Amino acid sequence: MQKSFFLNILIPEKTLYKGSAESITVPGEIGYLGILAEHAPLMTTLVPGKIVVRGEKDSNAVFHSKGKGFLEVLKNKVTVLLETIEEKSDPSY
Amino acid sequence: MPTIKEYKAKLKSLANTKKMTRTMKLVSASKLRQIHHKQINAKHYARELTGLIARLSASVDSTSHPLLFARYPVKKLLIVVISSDKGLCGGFNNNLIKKIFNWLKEMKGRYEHIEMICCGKRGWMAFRNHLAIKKNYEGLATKFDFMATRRMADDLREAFCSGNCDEVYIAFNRFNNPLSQVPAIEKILPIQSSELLDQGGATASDYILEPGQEELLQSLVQTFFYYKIYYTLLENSAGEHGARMTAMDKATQNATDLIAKYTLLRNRARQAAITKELIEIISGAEALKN
Repeated sequence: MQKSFFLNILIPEKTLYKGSAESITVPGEIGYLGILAEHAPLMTTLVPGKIVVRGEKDSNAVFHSKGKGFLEVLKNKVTVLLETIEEKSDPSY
Repeated sequence: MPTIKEYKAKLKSLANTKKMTRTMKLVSASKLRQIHHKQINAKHYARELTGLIARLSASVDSTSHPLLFARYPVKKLLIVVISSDKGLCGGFNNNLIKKIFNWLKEMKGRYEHIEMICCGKRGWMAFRNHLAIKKNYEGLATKFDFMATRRMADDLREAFCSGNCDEVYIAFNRFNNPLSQVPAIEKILPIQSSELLDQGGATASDYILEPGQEELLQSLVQTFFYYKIYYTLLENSAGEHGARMTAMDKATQNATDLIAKYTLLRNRARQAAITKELIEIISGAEALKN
């Protein structure tokens, strides 16, 4: 089994994701970046784009970020702060 | 004395009014609950955001951001008035407007220039004949969209950064509980750096920072400012619904009292009519006997 980390995705209106995840892909300013468990401490800004979360037991979650955002990785805890997301979920997922 | 028919019409309209005020109260109660929920979520967001700022700025000089930079002397003020778009909520808007008038009187002598931005129809209607209002953002106080709030916050930020105003104040109703809202005027720009660093025990870790620390902090502080405006709008709206709930509860109570009063009066009128008819019949019979 793959190692997991604690993930928290928030927008001001609500909490989008809270729990453990195996990986997350986020749109960074210079391209998408993927984060796995035990990543080094990182803090970065995010641009609008697709955020893909692979949770435990192969469950996927996709969010479409529309505004700026921030990502922090610290001690196996990942926090993603977004401004807003596109509410309509993509039918292909 | 009004006739029975007039009393009946009055009672009917009272019953309708009561039904309406009761419904408005229930609607406000449900909206208040929704906003409470949003407030809690917004607080979660704020906790993460301020935590992030605190951890990042543990080693950086926090006065370097333009939004944190206090200017002396302060000459030009900008006040943002947040009020509701709709009435029927007791003294909610009036208390705030009164407070702002007093504040303006006090500030007029001290500063060269005071400008106003309104957010909400009630405040705009009260001040449009007294002051030059730069802009009125209608509908923002009822629809909670972070991005819409951001547009207003961006305008404020620009006014501040370009030097059009040296300090920005915000006037709103602070929500204590559904029964009490206190009008408040607060300084929002420049941001006091103590607000950002209120989380104790933050330590700087060996972060990989992308982009640099300065740029990161800049965008974080900006987001914090957006969030503050958003939260103020939420708080004001919670207050509005609380005030409307109380006002409508009183109105319903009042309608109930009036219905009781008018029912008595109507019964009395009906009895009087019956008595009058009886007297007529009896006196008619008496006249025939003789």
